Amino acid sequence: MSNKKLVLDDSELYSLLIDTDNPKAQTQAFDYIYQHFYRQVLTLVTQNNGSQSDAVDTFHQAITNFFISIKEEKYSYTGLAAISSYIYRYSKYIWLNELRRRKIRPKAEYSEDYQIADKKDLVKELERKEKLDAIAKALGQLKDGCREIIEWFYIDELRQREIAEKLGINEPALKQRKYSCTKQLIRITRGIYPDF
Amino acid sequence: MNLSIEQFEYIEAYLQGQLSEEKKQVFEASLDLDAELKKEVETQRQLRLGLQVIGVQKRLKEAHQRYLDNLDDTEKQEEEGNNVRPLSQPKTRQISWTNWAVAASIALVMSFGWLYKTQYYLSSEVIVFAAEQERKLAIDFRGEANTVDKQKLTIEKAQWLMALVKIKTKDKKEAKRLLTKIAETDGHSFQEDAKTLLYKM
Repeated sequence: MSNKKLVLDDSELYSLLIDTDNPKAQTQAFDYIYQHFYRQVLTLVTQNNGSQSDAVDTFHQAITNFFISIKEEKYSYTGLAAISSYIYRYSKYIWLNELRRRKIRPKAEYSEDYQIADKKDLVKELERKEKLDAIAKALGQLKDGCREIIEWFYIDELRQREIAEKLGINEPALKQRKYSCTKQLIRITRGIYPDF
Repeated sequence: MNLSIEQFEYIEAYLQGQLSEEKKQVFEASLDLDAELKKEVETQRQLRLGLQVIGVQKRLKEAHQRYLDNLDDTEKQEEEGNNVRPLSQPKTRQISWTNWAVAASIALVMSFGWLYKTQYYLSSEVIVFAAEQERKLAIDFRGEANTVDKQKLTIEKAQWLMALVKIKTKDKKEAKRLLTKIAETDGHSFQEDAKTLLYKM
């Protein structure tokens, strides 16, 4: 790498990752994760019938799963195992299941992990994926004005005052629009995924 | 349930952790009594999570682009050709037999007692893996050390061996601590081995 590598220990990385409402912290954490953990996953995937693009997808899915585990309080940092090992383990799990979906046998050294996911896990993951996909699709169907507001609030995590300034409206009016847009988003999501 | 704007904002404040401890407890108690409100909270939680995941994926794509932009030419060639150095392959480890004979003997002697005593406390996978590592280490001892790397290798081998010994003496906590330290040290000759062992534990 021609730029300077970020240096963080695991507890510092974890502090950035649990600050889930702070895009700047997340950006720094992801830069670090890319610099230090990605090549290992790239090797895992490309040496097991996958392309570079498969490696990127697998890596992103693994980090997303790790993020969800933090949000759902299924993971908390104890210092006993490196965060890199969790991300590698998630990546391996995802890639081996993808190979199974493509009906490809992995290399012998991974065969013991080949049946890693049981049906219950897969069904649960599939449901979650469907729900998240429905939200993304519903967001795409929102009218421009509403989509902007939702993206600024929940994806870019901008402050209410900043958004009000961008739109040239006062904060009470913005609250009303946010409320109305969120209701629309929920309604559209339920149209796509009725159990939402 | 048709939420008022005030109810909607209160749920948001709750999900963002902005309520005082007292208000949070009262609110959570009310959720137990009101199934519809509970469902609304869950819907908003899921919606918020879904949108945050979109944010995560957006920032990951940006991080990937920055990563690619900062690769030097050699690294780019490696990645574009999928010709990636396998990080998990065993590295060539050479060190003189005389430097390690004593340490290896101690470890091997301890292993007999350990295999007998600890098989009920550590998974068979960890035991087999550690035994394999020790065997590889013993074979490597026969080689000759590269003078430049000799000191570094000596220290790293000592750290690795110590972690293996801790596994054998059932000191799982200390073994994990030592293995974590190795796994977190970039460029450590046993970094990948330590990660694998931690994963198996």
